[in-house]
Amino acid sequence: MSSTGTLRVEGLTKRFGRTVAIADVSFQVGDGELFTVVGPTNAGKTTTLRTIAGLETPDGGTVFINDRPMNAVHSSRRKVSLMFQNLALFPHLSGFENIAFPLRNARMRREEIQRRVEEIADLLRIGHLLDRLPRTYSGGEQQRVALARALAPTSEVLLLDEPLSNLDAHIRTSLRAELKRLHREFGRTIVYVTHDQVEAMSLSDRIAVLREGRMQQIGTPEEIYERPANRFVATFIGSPPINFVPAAVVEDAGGVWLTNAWLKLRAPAHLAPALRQHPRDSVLVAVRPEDITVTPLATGDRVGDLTVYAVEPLGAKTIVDVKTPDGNIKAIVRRSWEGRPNMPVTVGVDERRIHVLREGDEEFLPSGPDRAAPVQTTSAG
Amino acid sequence: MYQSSTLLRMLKWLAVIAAMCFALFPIFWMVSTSFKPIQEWSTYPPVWIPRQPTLENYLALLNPAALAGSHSIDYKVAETAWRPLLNSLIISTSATFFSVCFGTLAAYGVSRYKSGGESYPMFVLTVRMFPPIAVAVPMLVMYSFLHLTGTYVGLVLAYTAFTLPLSIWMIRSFIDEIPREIEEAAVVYGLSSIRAFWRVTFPLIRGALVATALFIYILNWSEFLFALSLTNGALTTVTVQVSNYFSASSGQLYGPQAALGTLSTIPVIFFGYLIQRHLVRGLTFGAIKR
Repeated sequence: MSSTGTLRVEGLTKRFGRTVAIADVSFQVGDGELFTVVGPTNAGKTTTLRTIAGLETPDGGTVFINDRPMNAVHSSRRKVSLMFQNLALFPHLSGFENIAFPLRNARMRREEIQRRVEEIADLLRIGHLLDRLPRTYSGGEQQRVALARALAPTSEVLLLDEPLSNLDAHIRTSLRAELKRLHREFGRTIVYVTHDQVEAMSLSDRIAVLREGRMQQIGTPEEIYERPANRFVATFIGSPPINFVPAAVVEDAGGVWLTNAWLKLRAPAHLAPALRQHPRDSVLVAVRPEDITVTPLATGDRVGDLTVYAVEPLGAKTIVDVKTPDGNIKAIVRRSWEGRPNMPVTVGVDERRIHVLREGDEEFLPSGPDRAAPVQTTSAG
Repeated sequence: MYQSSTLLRMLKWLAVIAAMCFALFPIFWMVSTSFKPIQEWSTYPPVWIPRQPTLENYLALLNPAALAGSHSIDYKVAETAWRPLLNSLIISTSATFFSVCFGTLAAYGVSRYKSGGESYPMFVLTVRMFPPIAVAVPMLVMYSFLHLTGTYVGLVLAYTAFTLPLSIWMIRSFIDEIPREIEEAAVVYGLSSIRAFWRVTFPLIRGALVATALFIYILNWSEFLFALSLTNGALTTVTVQVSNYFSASSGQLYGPQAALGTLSTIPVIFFGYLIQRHLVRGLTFGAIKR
C-alpha cells in the first residue's frame, strides 16, 4: 500500500552566509531502512533533512531518490514526507483535512482519501481527533496527527525531524516503540533525525553521527557503540559517557602495557603493533562504564588511591563514581552492589574492549578487524 | 480575600466607565448637536440633550432645497451631501483595496524573502515620517501636469501611496507570526509556493487583513489635506464637504457639520461591526509545538 525508495546523498554542502551548516555530507539509505542522523545542537541535522526535502538549495552535492538526481526537482514533486520538528500542522484545518492534505494534492479519489485517512487514524489511534482543530490537541496528539500526515501519502522517503522531542518521558517511550512497530510493519524508508542517542540506538538500522556539519561515522548501532571512529563519537554515544583515563605506553618482555599510578593494562593484541611504534607516549584509554568492575577492599588490604565518590542506584543498575588521582570515572555495577562513599576500592577493566588514542588526537588508534582477542583481565589498586 | 477582589473588580469597572465616557463624549456631542436647532448649537450654559430636536440639519445635507423657505439656517451650499458621501465611498474603498492588496504582496516578500534587504521596511516607513503637507504642493504641481487633479484616480493613487507603508508594516507583523514551516509543509505535501500561500497563509491572515483594511479605511475616509489640495474643487469628499458648511452671518454651521459627521461615522461603525468576528488573536494556535 505504500511505495518505498532509496535515498543517496553525495557531498552535500550548505552554507548560510559564512556559517557552514553541512559540509560534504554523504550517505546512502536502502529501501525500507530506518536511518538515523544523530548529533548535538548545530550538527546540521535539520539542514540535511530540509535539503533532502528540497526546502534548501544545496551549495554543493546531489540528492538522489531512487537514483534520480533531485536537485532540480521542486519540493512538491520529490515524493518525500517531512515531519517538522515544530510539527507545522495547518491550524485552520481539522485533523482529517490535515492528514488528507497531501492526498488531495495527489488527486486521490474522494472515497480513497476517506479510506486512507481512517486507516492511518486507526493505526495511530487518533480517530477521535479527526473532526477537531489542532488547537484542541494535547502535545502527544499533535505529534500523532503530524506523524499521520507524514505517513498518509505514498512518499518514497519519510523524513522525521525530532518526532519525539518535547514529549514527556512516558509518552516518548511508548511512541518510540510504536514508531518501531510501524516501521517494521510497513517497511518505509525513513530518515530520522534526533539529538537523543538512546533514541538513535534503539530505533535504527544504521546511524550517522554528525558534528558541526561534518559526518563523523556511519554504521549499525553496534558498530557505532563498539567501534567508535573518534573521541567525539565515543563520548556522544553511550550513557553514562565513556571514561577517558590517561596512561603511558610501556613495553617489556611481557608485552605492551598501558599504565598509570593506579592502573596497569596489557594492551590488546590488535593495538600492540600501533602502540609499539610510540613507546613512552602519553595516551588516553577509553573504557565504557559497563566494562569496569569495582570491588570494595576488605579491611586489612592495602589502602590504595581509589575511593568511592558517589553511588547512584538507578533501579536496574547502579552507577558508581570512583575517585582516582586522574579525576572521577563512572562504572556500571550490579544493582545490589554494596559500597558507600569514601570506601576504598579496586578497579578492573575489560582490556578487550578498550580504545586508545594519543593525547591530543581525535581518532582512535587503528584497530584490527577482530577486537575480541582474548586477553586476561588484570587489575591494580 | 473575596471582599477585596470584589472591590478591585468594581474599581476596574469604574475605571473602564470613566475611560469610555472620556472617549465617547465627542461622539455623543456630535450626535446631540446634529439634532439641535441653530439656537442650541453654541449657547452657554451648553444644551446637553436637544430641547427641540429637529431633522433640519440632516435636511440641509441631503435635500437643501426643502429648506429654501424656512430661513432658519442661513445656508449657501447648494450641493447635497450625497455626492461627497459617494465620492468618499468610492475613493476610500478603492484606495483601501489597493493598499491592502499591494501591502500583502510586499509584506509577504519582506517577511519571507527579505525583499529589498534588511532595511527596506524602515525605508518604506520613512514615507510616513515626514508631514504630508511637505509633499502636498509638489504633488499638486505633478498632478496638474499629469491631469490627475480632481480625479478619482488621483486621490486613490495618493491615498494608496500614503497608507501602503502602514499596510506593509501591519501585515508583515502578522505574517511574521506564522511559522514558515506551515507553508513549507504545504509545499512538501504537494503545492506550489503560490498555491501554498492561497491555501494556507491567506486563510490564516484573513482576519488580520480585515483588521488592517478597517484601519486603512478609517485613515482614507477621514483624510482632509490631499482631498482639499489635489481636487481643486472639482471633486469633493466628505471631509471637505464638512468644511464647506459655514455662512457669512452664522459662521460655522455646527448643526449640518455634526449631522454630516454623524452620517459619515455610520459606515465605519457598520464595517467594524461586520468584521468583529475576524478580529481574533492566536491565529496559529495549535499548529506548532511550543
